[in-house]
Amino acid sequence: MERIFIITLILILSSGDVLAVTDCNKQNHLLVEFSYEGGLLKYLSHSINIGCPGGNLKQGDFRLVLSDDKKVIYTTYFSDPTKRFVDYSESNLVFGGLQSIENPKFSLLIPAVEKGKIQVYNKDNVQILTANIETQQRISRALQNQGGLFGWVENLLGQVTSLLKAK
Amino acid sequence: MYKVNIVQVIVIIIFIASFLLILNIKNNDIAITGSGAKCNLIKDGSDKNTDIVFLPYGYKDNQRFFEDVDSYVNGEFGFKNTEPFKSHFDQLNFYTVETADVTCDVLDDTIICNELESKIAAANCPNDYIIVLYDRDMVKDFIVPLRSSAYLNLASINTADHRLVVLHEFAHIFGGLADEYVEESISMNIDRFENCDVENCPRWSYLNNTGCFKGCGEIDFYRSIDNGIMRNYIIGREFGVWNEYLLSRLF
Repeated sequence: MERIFIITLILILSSGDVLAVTDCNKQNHLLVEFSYEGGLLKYLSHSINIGCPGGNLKQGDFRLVLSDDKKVIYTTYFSDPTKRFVDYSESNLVFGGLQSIENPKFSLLIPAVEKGKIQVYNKDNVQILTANIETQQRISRALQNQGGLFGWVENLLGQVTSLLKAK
Repeated sequence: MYKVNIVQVIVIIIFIASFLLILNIKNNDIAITGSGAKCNLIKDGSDKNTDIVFLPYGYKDNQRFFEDVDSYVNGEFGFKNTEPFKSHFDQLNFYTVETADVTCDVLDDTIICNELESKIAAANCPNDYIIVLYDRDMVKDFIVPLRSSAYLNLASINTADHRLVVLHEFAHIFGGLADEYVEESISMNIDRFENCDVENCPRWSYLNNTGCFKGCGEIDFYRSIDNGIMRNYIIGREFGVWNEYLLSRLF
């Protein structure tokens, strides 16, 4: 009965770990900033942050490819950053249009890598930008902590064993 | 015979209850946290899915925000009840970050929510597309109507507008569809926007239940449906066969 009680306590205390299976707080992404000036896409900076990266979007005017020395890690598309759709309705009609933005700065969230290369291609599949990425901060710790369900079960068994031994 | 006392029964009940609690939490709300803000899973789809994050701006209470999100997801004019999202509803995941620290400005009567802040807030959840709901009073909006906007993967929505404005803006950011109403300010490359075409509409003329109506962004281009959601979301209630195909192929 004591064992059941201990396991119950552990389950309650460690329920947060179970919830962390899809926890963005335990993932990292690179926040990459770009500008688009005079028809030229420019890489500005990047920083590593906690949180989920954006997904692999399937359409857009530009294709971003993130790769390391060996393989492509991530691909996504993004739309023309100089265009913004605007819409409003009045008297049963819809108005708005397409606004042009001069020299916009914008950002993309991509998966975190310690070392990699970003390449951007236009609609004609012509490479218009390449940037080497190197992050100073190690990202492996957070990734190791993810563990998944098996990791959680393993941790749980470890805690139970140590508590039983302590008794 | 083994006797079970009251303490043992309580412990067993707590044990079972904690298991059920964990399973329930795992399968429903709460689920995810990141950089301090809580991510709420509103609706879970399949493994191969598209993640959409709703963020609030200007809401005085969270309940109202959740009601709006529910309406945009499950309502009559929501994703759940409008094709092609209706048919792919199991491939859509919806999240909210109620404590998102996002600022929105109004420039030239257009709602523009900060792109960087929106992305940082949305990163608390799995995120493909971000929809910021700008809580707008109906009366104020009647006097000064504000425009919703769509930029990259971010839609900034005037909640006082018709509910279908969300799907209209989402079709911009998700499917790259152009507006099908005619505006002088619109100058567009027909190659970029597949929901518009030249005379005789060769892109979709082979499809049943499509038309070829003059005016699609520019007066000289043509659209596949007379009054679809991309032309007039007040009157139109559907995207039309061709636009549904363009959106469906991205799932």
